[in-house]
Amino acid sequence: MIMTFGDESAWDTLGLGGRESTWSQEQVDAHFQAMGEFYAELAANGELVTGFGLADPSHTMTIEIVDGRPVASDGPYAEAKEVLAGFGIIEVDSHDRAVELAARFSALVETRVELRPVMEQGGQEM
Amino acid sequence: MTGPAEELPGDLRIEDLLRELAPRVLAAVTRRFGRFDLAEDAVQEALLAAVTGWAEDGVPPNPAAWLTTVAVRRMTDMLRSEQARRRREQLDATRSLPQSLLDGGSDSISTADQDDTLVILFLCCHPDVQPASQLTLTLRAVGGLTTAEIARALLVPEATVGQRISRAKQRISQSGARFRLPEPEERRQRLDVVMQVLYLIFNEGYTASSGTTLQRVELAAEAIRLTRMLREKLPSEPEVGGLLALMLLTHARRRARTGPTGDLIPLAEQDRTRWDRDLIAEGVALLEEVLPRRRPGPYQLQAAVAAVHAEAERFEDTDWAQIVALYDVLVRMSADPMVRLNSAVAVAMHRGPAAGLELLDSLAADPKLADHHRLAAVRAHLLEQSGSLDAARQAYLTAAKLTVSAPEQRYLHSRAARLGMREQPPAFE
Repeated sequence: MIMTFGDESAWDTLGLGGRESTWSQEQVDAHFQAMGEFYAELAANGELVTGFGLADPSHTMTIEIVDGRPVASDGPYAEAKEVLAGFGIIEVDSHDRAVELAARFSALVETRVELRPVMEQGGQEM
Repeated sequence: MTGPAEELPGDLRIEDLLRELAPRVLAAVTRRFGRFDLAEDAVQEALLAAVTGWAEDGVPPNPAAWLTTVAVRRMTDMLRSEQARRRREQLDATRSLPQSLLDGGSDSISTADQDDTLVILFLCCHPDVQPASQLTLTLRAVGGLTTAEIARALLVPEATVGQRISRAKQRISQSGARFRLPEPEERRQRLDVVMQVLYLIFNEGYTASSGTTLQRVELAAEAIRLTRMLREKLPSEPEVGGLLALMLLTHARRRARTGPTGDLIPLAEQDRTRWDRDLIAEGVALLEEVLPRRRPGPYQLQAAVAAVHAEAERFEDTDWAQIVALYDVLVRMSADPMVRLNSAVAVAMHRGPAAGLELLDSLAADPKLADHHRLAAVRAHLLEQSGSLDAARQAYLTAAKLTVSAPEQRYLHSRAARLGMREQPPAFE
């Protein structure tokens, strides 16, 4: 799983936050096209499981069980500098290949990404 | 006038399109992001942005997507500032969710195939919300009208409209209402409320029509538009057809209902050539479709009464026997004291004013009617017909004192004045 992170401005850049995009429309279109091509290539290879960008973090809800009752709150309010912005799940032959794709992913989103293996069979192997 | 006349058709098209899209966009945003209260504000702002933006730049290729994007952006902005404020003020923003969520069950039912506009309509007409607020929220969230337009249409300040809308949304979110149609067992009851709200909007269009109509949304026409939509969504509900027929048959008389100076003209004196024959034909056809289903209800019966009036070429030709028979059924079905009052009028027309007056005496015991201007006005008419002119004049003046509608007051005073010029109408205070 490749995870990308960002703060509020990451969504504003693309016009997916609380205002119109700070990038020009051409830049935004180019970005989405490059992402699309990357995903299309992985899909064609059979290396793509799934991948999504997430909505602006202000739409996050926290839900927990307190004294056996479900309770909800908006956010996490503790202002996190960087939160999960999107992810891609890939299925590749080697860790090396995963690192290679993560590097390309990082170049595309112009920010750091984290790479972490997904446990197979619900974690039975661990 | 705000601009060259040749721009108007274009403007109207954009507004019609926006009103049609409004509930669907609101549903799409609420379905995905929750928070109906914020979503509704956000969609309203997107609609306002579209009114000005599209007039200049043209309608975008996918108007619904454009509106959704702008609305979500506005909602994100609202959420961000709301959350920043809570952080600053260190407010605890936790809220309990219904315990039933943990049971699974009904929540696993997909809501995706439910009609969006219908879901929004049922939500706005939530029974926990006051009728005035249900009506206001429905006009904005389902009708796509702006706060300013609603304020002008209802003749109330914009601030009042805003308060009603936010109060309504508060009640809805407190009630824990979910974004889906009510359960089937609850749906009939909820549909009654929806129909009441639509009929209220329609009637509001009549009582508010006293002021200048220029630059104002026609509430009666808007109620008809929304009821047509409801009828399209629920074609198997005869009462929805009945409600639409009632509105059409009543609206058909609109041109004959007021004189050139806005004074009210009673049914008996209306110029029936000014009745809208197309609306009458549509209303009658609707009735002929729903009545044979043998699930009569108050709206179908009232529409049937209106149809009997529509069929009479002159007032003298009215088939009062049939109207009395319809009211007999209606009175058994409806607790509405107005229905009983109208029934008394029909009886008076059929069997003479004395029979009507006798019924009125029994109605006066109803506290909901005792001080109602309509009771006094009907009594005045019947007394006048029976020749008790002095008592009639007194009753007209009583009715004028009780009503809050200026045109009605003028009408009642003129009737009183006709019966005797001795006493001036009381000055307005």
